[in-house]
Amino acid sequence: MTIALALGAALALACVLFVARPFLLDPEAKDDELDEPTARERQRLELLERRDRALAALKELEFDHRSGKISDDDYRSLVGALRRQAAEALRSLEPNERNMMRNLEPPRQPDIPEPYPPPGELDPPSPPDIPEPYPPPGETEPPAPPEIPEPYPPRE
Amino acid sequence: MRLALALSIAALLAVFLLYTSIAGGGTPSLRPSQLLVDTHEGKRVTLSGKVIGTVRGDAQAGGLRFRLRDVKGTGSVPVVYRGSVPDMFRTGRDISVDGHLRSGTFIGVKNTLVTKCPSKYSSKK
Amino acid sequence: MAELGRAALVICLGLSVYALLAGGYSAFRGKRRLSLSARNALIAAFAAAAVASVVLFAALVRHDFSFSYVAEHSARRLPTLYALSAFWGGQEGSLLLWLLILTAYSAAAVLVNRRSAPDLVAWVVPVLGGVAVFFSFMLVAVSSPFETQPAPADGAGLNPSLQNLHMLIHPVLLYLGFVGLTVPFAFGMGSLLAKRGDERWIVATRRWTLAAWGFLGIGQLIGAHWAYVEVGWGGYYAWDPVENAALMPWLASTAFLHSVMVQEKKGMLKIWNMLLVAGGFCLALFGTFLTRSGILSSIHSFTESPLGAWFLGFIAIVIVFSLGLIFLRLPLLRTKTKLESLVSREASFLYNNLLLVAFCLTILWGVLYPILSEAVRGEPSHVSGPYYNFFLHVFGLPLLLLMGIGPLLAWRKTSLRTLAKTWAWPAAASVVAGVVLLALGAGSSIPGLIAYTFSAFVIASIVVEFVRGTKARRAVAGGSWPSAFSSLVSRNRRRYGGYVIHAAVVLLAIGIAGSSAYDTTREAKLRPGQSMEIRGYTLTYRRLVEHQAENAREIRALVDVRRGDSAEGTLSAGKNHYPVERQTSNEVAIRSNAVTGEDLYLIAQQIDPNGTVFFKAEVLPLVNLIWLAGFIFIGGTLIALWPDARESRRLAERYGYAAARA
Repeated sequence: MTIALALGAALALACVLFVARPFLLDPEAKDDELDEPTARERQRLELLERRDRALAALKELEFDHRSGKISDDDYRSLVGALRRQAAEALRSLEPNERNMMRNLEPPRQPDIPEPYPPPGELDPPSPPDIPEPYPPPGETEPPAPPEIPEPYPPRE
Repeated sequence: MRLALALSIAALLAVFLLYTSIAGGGTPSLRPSQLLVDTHEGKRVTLSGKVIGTVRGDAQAGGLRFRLRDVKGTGSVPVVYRGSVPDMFRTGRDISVDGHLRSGTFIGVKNTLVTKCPSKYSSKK
Repeated sequence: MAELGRAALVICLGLSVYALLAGGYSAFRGKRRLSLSARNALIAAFAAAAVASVVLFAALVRHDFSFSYVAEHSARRLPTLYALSAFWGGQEGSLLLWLLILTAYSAAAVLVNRRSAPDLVAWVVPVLGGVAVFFSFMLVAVSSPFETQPAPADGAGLNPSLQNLHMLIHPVLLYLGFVGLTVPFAFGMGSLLAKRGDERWIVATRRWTLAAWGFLGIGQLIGAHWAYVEVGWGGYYAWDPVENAALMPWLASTAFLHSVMVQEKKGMLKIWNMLLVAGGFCLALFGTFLTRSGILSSIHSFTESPLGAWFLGFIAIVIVFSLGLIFLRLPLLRTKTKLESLVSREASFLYNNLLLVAFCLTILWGVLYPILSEAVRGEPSHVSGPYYNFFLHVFGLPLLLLMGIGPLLAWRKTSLRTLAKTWAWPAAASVVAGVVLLALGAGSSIPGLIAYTFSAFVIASIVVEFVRGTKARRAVAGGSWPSAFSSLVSRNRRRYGGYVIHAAVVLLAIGIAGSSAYDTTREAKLRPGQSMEIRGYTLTYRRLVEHQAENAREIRALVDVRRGDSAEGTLSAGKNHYPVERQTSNEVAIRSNAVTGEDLYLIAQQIDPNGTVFFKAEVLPLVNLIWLAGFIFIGGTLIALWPDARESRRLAERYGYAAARA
C-alpha cells in the first residue's frame, strides 16, 4: 500500500512541476503577452485565404476543362471572372506585403511563388501562367484568353 | 434564393418525416401489468418483462409456453411463442416479444423474441 | 494498488480543472506563461490517465479480484488477451478508456500545433480540458473502476460472446472515432473563442476528422461482422439503439468532411460547418451515453443509473455552449458568397449534406421515439426495422446516385449540354446493368434493382474520373500511363482517396442490397439422414457430435452440402455451453463462395435430446462484398490521409507568418 501512496505522490509532484514549468523557467518574464494576431495580420490571413482560393479555383477550372468536364463556352465565360478575382487578391496582398516587410526582421521575400501550385492539381499549362501575364494595377482588362494559341491537346 | 430553396426542401422532408412517424405510429412497448389494464384489443404490441416459472413446450413445434412478469412488479401474463429462441433465454431473463393478447394469453409473433442484456452490449436475437 | 488508480484519477481531474480554468483565463487575458502552463496540465492529464489505466490493466492481468471491476468482468480461466480486453468490458472501464484516449488526443493535438497559432491553441486547451473534467469527474465521483472488495476466489467471467477478436478491437476503434471528434470540435469552438474567422481550425483538424471518421466506419463494420458470425441470426445490422449510436455521428462527420471542402473552395457554409462539428461531437457523446447507460433497454432504468442524468446534463451544457458561442460570433462567420448554380459541385455537396443530415435526424428520431411517445401519449412506442429501412431507401438511394453525379460536376456551374456529354458513359453503363439485372431476375426487389443500377452508375463515373484525370495529366506532363496515374493521385490525395472511398461505399451498397433484398430463407426440422433444399444447395443432416473444450461443451450438427452433383463439404453448426458463465452461445456455420461472394448460412436453432435439429438456412448473395468494402475503405482513407509535402509547404507559407514571430 505504501508503494501505491509513494507512486501517487510522485505522480502528483511530477505533474505539479510540469504545470509550473513555464513559471519556473522564466520567473520574471519581460514579455508575458500571448501571441495574438493583430488586426493587420488577421486581415492578411483573410487575403491570403482569398488568394489561395482564387488561384485554386483557376487551376481547378483549367483541369476540369482539360479533362472535359467543362465545355469551351463555359470555360471562356468563367475564366475571365476567375482571373480577375485572382488578380485582385494578389494585388490587395502586395501593399500589405510591403508594410509587413517593414515590420519584420529579417525581411522576407514576397510570398507569391511562381508557378503557384494549387491544392494538388496539375502544374499550370505553360502559356497562361497565372502570376506572370498579370497586368500591373492600372490596367483594367486582363488580356482576353484566346483558346486558339494554347497547345491544346485534342479532346477525346 | 437558392438557400431558401434548399431549406424548404429540408423542411418538406422534416414534415414528411414527422407525419410518417407520428401517424405511422410505432409499436407500443408494454409491461405485462399495462397489458392487463389495457388489452390493446387485437393490436400488435411489444411485451417486455422477466420470464418466471417453468418454461414448457417446443418453440419449433407446438409452441413455447412461459409466464412473463413485470421486471419490477407483480402483474404477469402467460405467453405462447413459436419461432427462434435466443440462446440466452431462460427463466429469470428479461426478454421482449411482439404479439397480441387473445383471451388472456399473449400470442407471440414468430421470430420476435429478443433477450435483453443491459450490462453488456446490445440485445441479442 | 487501487489507491494509486484512484489517486491518479483525482490528479487527472485536478489537472483538467486547471487546464479549463487557467487555460480559459490565460487565453482571455493573453497571458503566455499561464497558457503554456495550462497546456502542460492537459499533457500531464494524459500521464495521470495512463497511470490509472496501467493500474487497471495490471490488475486484470494479475486476476486481482480485490478490484470489484476485475471480479465482475474476468475470471481465472480467461486467456490474457481477453483479460486485457475486459478493461472496456464494463461501464467504468470504458469511461476510463474514453478518458485515456481523450487525454492522449488532446496532448497530441496541442503538441503538434504548439508552434502555430498560439492564440488558437490557447483557447483549444480549456475546451479540451472541460471535456476531460467531465469524464474524470465521472470516474472519480460516480463510476469508479477502482472499487475494492474482499477478493472472491474467482471472478464472474467475461460474456462468451465478447471473447473473440472482433470484440477485442471493435470498442477501441469506435472510441478512437467517438473521442476523435472532440478535437475538431475543440478547434472549432477555440477558433470562435479566439474570434478568428479564418480556416486555421479546419486546416489543423482535417486529418484528425478523417482519421476519427475512418475509425468509426471500420469499428462499425467490425461490429456488423461480429453480429453476423457470432450472434448469428443471419443478419449484420438490427437498427438497435447501440448500433445507431455509432451510425449517427458517422453520418454527421461524413457530411462535415464534405461541407468543409465547400468552405475551403468557396468560403461558404461557415455557420453550417460550426453547427455540424458541434452536432457531430454531441452525437458522439450521446452515442457513448446510449451504449453505456442502458437507458434504452429499459426506460425506467434511467432513474436507476445516475450516469444517465450526468451525461444528459453534460450534453445539454455542450449544446448550450456551442449554440451560444456560434450565435455570438455570427458576424464573424457570415459571408456574402452565394451558390451560383443548382447544377454545380457545391450544390451537390449541399444536397449530400442535406440527405446525410436528414437521414441522421431520422435515426435520432427513431432512437428517441420511445421516450418522446411516452412523454406525449403516456405509453412508450418504438419503431424498428421497417421504419429505418424505409428511410434508408428514401435517403440512401439518392445519396448513392449523388456519389456518381457529384464528381462529374464542375465547380460553380456546369451547362446541361456538357453534363449530357460527361454523363454519357456512366448513364449507358447503368442502363445496360439495369437491363441485364432485370433479365437475371433482380426485378423481385425494386429498391434492390435501383441500388444496383445506381451503383453501376457510380462505379462507371469513378472510372471515368480516373481515366480522364490520367489522360489530362499525361497530356501535361507526359510519361507513361501508370506514372501519370500515380502522379495524378499523389498530387490530389484527398480527391482520389475520396473516390476510392466512394468505390468502397458502392461495394457496401451492392453487398447490402444483395444480401437483404435478394436473400432466401428456409427452415426445416430434420432427423439424422434427412435433407433440405435451398437455392440449388442440398443440405443433408448427418449426425450430432459433442466435444469438450477448455471452458465449453460444444455440440455440433454435421451437415453435408451438395450443389447439383458436386459435394461441397460439410458444415457444422450448433451451440456451445459455458458452465462457468452459465450461458449458451449460438455457433453458426457459414460457407462463402469466393467467386460470387455469396454465403450459405446455417443455424442449428434448436437441438432436441433425441437428435432432431431445427435448422434455419439462408443464402445471402453478395454479402462478402460488405467485408471487402471495409478493406477498400481503409485503403482510400489512407490515401486521403497521406501527408502531402507540397500541401504542407503551402499551408506553412500561408500560416507560418505567426510562427516567424513567435
